[in-house]
Order: sequence, then C-alpha cells, then structure tokens
Amino acid sequence: MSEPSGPELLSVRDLAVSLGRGRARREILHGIDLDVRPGEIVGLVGETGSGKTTLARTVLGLNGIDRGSVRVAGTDVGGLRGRALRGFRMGGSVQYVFQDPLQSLDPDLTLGRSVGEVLEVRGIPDIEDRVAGAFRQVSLDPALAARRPSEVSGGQRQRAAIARAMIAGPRLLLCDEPVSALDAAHRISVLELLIRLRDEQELGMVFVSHDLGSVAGITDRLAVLHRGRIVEDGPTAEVVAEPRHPYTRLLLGSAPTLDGAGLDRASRAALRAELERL
Amino acid sequence: MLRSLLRHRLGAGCLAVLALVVLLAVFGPLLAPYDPLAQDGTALLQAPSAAHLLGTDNLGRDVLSRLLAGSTLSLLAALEAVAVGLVIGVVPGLLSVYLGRPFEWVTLRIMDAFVTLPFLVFAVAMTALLGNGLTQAMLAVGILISPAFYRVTRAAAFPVASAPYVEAARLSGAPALFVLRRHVWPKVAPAVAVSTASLLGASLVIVSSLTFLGIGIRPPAPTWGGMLATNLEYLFARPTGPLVPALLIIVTVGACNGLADALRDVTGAPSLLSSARKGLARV
Amino acid sequence: MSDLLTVRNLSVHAGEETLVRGLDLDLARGGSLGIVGESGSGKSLTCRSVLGILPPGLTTGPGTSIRFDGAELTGLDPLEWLPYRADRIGAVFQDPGSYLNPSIPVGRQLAEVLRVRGGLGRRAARERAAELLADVGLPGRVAGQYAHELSGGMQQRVMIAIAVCREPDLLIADEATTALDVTVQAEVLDLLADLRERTGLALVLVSHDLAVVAQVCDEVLVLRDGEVLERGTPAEVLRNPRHEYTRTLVDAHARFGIERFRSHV
Repeated sequence: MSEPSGPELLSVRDLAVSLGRGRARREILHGIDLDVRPGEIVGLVGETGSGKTTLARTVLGLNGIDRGSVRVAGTDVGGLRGRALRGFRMGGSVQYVFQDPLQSLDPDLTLGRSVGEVLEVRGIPDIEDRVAGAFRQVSLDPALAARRPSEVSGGQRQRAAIARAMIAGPRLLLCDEPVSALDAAHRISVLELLIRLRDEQELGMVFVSHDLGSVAGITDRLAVLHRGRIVEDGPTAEVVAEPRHPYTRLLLGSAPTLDGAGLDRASRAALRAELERL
Repeated sequence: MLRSLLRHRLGAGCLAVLALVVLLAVFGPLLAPYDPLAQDGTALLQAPSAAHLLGTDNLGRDVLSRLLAGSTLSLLAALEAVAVGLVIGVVPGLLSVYLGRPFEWVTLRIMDAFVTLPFLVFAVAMTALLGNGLTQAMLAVGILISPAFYRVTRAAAFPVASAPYVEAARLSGAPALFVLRRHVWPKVAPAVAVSTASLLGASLVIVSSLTFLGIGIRPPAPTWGGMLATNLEYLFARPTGPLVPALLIIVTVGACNGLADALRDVTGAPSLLSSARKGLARV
Repeated sequence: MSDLLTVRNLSVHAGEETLVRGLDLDLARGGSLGIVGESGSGKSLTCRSVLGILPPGLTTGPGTSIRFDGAELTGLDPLEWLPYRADRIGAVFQDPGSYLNPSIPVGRQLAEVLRVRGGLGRRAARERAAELLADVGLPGRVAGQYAHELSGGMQQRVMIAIAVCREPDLLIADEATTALDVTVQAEVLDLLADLRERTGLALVLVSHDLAVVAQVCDEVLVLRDGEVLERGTPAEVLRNPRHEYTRTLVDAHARFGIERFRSHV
C-alpha cells in the first residue's frame, strides 16, 4: 500500500457530485471540503436529502465525481475504475458501517462467515482464527460466529458488522447512522466500542447522523451539511457553544435534550425565515 | 430443504409419484414384456388380457411396452426443455440485475420477443429448420419457456442485488461472480426450484401436445402424447385406449405442480402464479 | 380535574405470553402523558389497547379496565368502540405515508372524514378541511396534493389534521416524530403543544427518546418488557432516576448527547 502523502486520512476538496440520469440528474454536493486525520471522529450531520450519504458513498468510490477530488490515505478515489477500484477496495483502507446490521449482514450466513468474507475474497488463510480475533476485538464472544444475524441481539449484530469492517484493517471508518437502529443500552456500548477502536488503532472516523442531539458526544469535530454544502466545520465543543451558521443554530436548538436548553419556538421560526432568505 | 419437503404431506406424496414415474422411465424398457415397436398383425386393438396387460394398439403393438418405452422419451424431452429454459433464462436473469443497464435492456427485449412467438408455429418452424427430432423440438420449447425463468430469477434477484450486504461484499473487493454465488444465488434458488417444478409439468404437457400432433417425433417411436393420438383415432374400436396415457400425463403433471406448491410452502418463495392468484383473490 | 382516561391493570397476552403486565395510567382532561420505552416495551400495545386495535391474536387480560370519560371500553364490540376511536380519541403513528391513500389528494381524504363522521355537506367539508390544514401550518396548495408529493413532516401534519378534525378529547401520538428530521420533529412537537393550548386536547406521547417526552409532557412513564419501571414528572425522573434502566437512558444523553458540551446539567 502507498504511504499517505499528507497527514489527512481523508481529504475531500471542492467535491461536486451529481446523481440520477438524463433529465432527473441533479447536483447533490456542491463543492465540499472535508478533512479527517488519524484518531479523529468527525460528525457529519444534516437532514434527509442534505447529501451526507452521497458524500459517504462517494468516498467509497460508489459515485462518479463531477469536480474536485477525494483522497483516502493518499489514493485519489475519484480516478479509480474497474480493476484499480477493486484493488483499492481489497486494500481495505476505508470501511463502511451500515445503519441497520439486519440488512448489512446476509441473513442466511453465519456471522463468522460474513465477517470472514473479506479474507476469503483476498485469499488469506486461517480465516477462522482471524475471525475469532476480530470478534474479540469488538468484545463479542467468538462462539457467536456460528449464529445467524437473526439469532443475536441488535447490539451484537452491529458489533459483528463493525468486526467485518475492522478485519479488513481500515485506517478510515465511515459509520452511517450506526446506532440509530439500536436501543439505548446497546447504543451506549456500540459508541463506547467505536471510541475504543479509535483510541487503539488511531482510526479516523466519519460518523454520519441526522440526530446531532444524541451522538454529538462521540465526535471531536462537527461538519454540518445543509443542502449539499458544508455550512459549519469545527471542534464540536466550539460549534455547540457558538454556532455560526443559522442552520447549525436551528439544528442545535431543535435537538431534544434533557437539559431543556433548546431554542424556543419564536427563535426557531426566526432562524427558519433567515434560512429561507439564504 | 429436501428434509422439510419430505415432512410436507403434499410434497412427499408428489415426490413419491415422480420418483415412481422416473423409475418407470429408467427401468421401464427393461421391464417391458415386448419390443415396443414389434407389430403383431394377428392381435390388433385387443382388450387387456393376460398376454397384453393393457391390450394392443392398431398395429398390434403391446400398449404396456410402448407406455414404458414412451415414459423414457417423454420425460427426457421434458427435462431437456426445462434444462434449456433454465440455462437461457436463469443465467441472463441473474446477470441482468448485476451487469448494468445495457445488458438488462438487451436481455429484456430478447425475452419480450420470445414471449411474443406463437408456440406451435415456432416449434414447427424450428423442427422444419433443424430437422424433425425431439431434441430440436425441445430446444424450441426450452426457448419458449425461458422468459418465465428469466422473470422469476430477475424478480428474486432484484431486491438482493441492491441489499446492503451485497454492497458490503462489493466494497470488500469481491468479484461479481463471488457475490452472485455467495449472496444472490441462495436467495434466488428457491424461486427457481419452484418454477422448475411447475415448468417441468408444463413442458410435459407441451411435449405431449407436440408429439400428439406428430411434431418432434417420428411415428414408430412411442411417446405418451403420440400414443394418445393413435389411441384416439381408434376410439370406437377400443374406447379405453387413451385412458392410460392420458392418466399418466395427468398424474405426472399434477405431481409436478403439487411439488411446486410444496416447494413454495417450504421455502417461502413466490410461485409463478402466486401474484396472479393474489390478484384474483382480491376481485 | 376529572380523569379523562383511566387504565387499570392493563395486560396484553399473545397466547401464553404476556406482553404488557399490570399497567396503570391516569390522564386528566387536557393533561399530557409521555410513555418512554424501546421496541418490545409494550408502549405501542398500550396505545393500541386504548384504541381497541390490538393486532390479531393479541387480547387484553380479564382484569383489565380502560375507562374513557367515565365509560368502560373493554368488552365493547368493534362497532361500539368505533365512535370512541373515530371521534373522541385521535391517533397518529410513525409512518404517516402508509396511512394516507396514495391516489386521493390529502385535502379530499380529510374532507371525506368530515363528511362521513361529521355529517358535513360536500362544500362545508371542503372548507373545514382547508381551515384544518391551515391550523396545522400547511399552505393552501397542500389540499390538492397527493401524499407522495409531501415531505414526511407535511404528511404527519396532514395526519394530525385528520386525527383532530373531529375535535377529540385525546390524541395518541405513537412515535409520531421518530422518522422525522430533528428540526421537523421540533416543529411537529410545537404543533402538538399549540393544539393542546388552543383546544384543551389531552395527549399521550409515545417515544423511545426520553428527551422528547420530557420536553412535552407533564408526566412520564418509563416502560420496559411490558412493565412500568418508573413514573413521575419529567424533572423527578431526570433528576432522580430510581431504576437502573432509566439511569441508562439519562446517561446516554449526558455522555453522548450535546448536553456533554454544555456547562450545566
């Protein structure tokens, strides 16, 4: 694998992406800049249709690029096609954790089989031992490798999905709403797991979520995506304390919190009006 | 799957019937008391007797021996048609959801074209072009039933192809064939199995009708459909003649359809007609 | 104030299995009650029991009493239950899109309810429907639009308009804002608060998020595995969670929510 050219694991510059075909083709991302460094968890928040999933998929090389560049660990993902793209994927430097492990794990295969698939594709021996190791890494009993996704709890399923990502040896992890399908107790334990993995492996992480209120605590930095543009990007504590963009203020003010520190109705209406004018 | 099928009452019954028919087809010719082609001018159109258990036909041939020999040909023909249909239906059906739009478009148009072909005319044309033989005729039948396989495969594979676990496999760099084999095929196989069973029955009917009409078979060789035809001609002389070949066809086809239903129950796969039935049930 | 809804010893059974056991709840006229719990906690079954729409195969236990405005609802046959469900208790659920007919404009669907249940004439129903849609904060053009042309938030507003069009005494909102974006969720919660102020509607708000319920309701029930673990005002529950599970819910917010970055709490 090539050495990274810069300190960033992920470096997105002026990225524009369009989706759809023919007349339905629309530009979804309009010039995105985003960096993720090793050991950093960047929260990517925005509402439905803001382009957060499109951005994550583009980083994985699943979408074409109109303009700009996406570099993952020094590799220009936008320029990859066919064999080169497959080679990049086999390298495993970027991995994706899906929202719902019930859908991202094949229901007919055992968890061990799903987790070991990456190794099988690469033709690596001793798959069983390595899978057991990956299970232990995510605090999952290796005995569960023989179970199917429907036979374990939601939290265990998502751990298995994370094990599948980790076994590929990633340096960057893209997590797309990884805890929104989980119950509170499992949510906490999966978030704790992600933090531990980040600490142990110096992983860079993009944490995609629509629900800033309940996941901001895991992030070091927040990037707020609004209508295909990043409108705010900074250390989470600063963004929460002093949001600059009206959309960020609206988002923070709308999130249900236990301290009841949200904005009142009138201020939200004012922010909404301000956003309309932009 | 086989175990749960054997526990299914209808499934086990149909499997038993089909196993019997297959045994007949395989060992029948050995059991036949006479040469199925041997004519006996002294015993024309005889009623069942100790010498000829099912009687003789218009040329004095032993009906039982001809039925046994005909089983082999009829079953082989139906199997061949289904095999041809499977290959040219399932493979493009699987690939059409995976290889992108151009391939999908082309295969869809070809399948549409197959659907529009008038059945008999096409079979006649094929045998005229390639020579009148069962193999040629069954090639035609296989082509004509392939759209059913294509559609069923596609319908089953479509939701799987965009499932996150398939995407996850692709993201790990797995080649298309690996993904198809590991993730897509196991989800498609039950639906294909159901269709295979029901189309096997349909092919038997088609084989029987074609041979009844004399397409795809040269007269002396016995088939169920052909025997039905000759027996029908001499209905007045021997009213019970068509009964046995007709019963064989009905029982075998019924068993195939029953097996398809059982497979559907066991695997939870949709049958070819289930959507149509649902539509009817609503009316 | 007199009690509008009194549930005593509610239990829901699926054959041998007990899904809700011994649940009591009281709701005063115009009051608001939040029910928090995760999937399988029995919160939706509780709502459905009150509405008399338990899924097939599920039954309430023999000791169950559901009194609504003085009348006992348990034991009513579906036809007797209908006036309560249709006129006096409104309900909205998580996926508004699947409750709206895709081939009829939403305004007409609302007008139809007004005509059939409210006995309004064609024209009066249309006018009232327009008023109601305006009341839930939808622009006039929405009446002529189909469900698929509307965002999730707008669909939920339409559902709320339909739910309150018969001026019910009680509205049950079962995870009604779960599928919505955070900013839209805030708007819908505002709308519910607003409706309560204007019409004196009582509210049962069901959510998996303790914060949502705490923000809106006067009283909170925490449910788990079909049993009430905790009940009290939001302040009591948040400040002194008695049960381990409630502490987990509070903890999740304190550690991973934006609360972590705010000085107080």
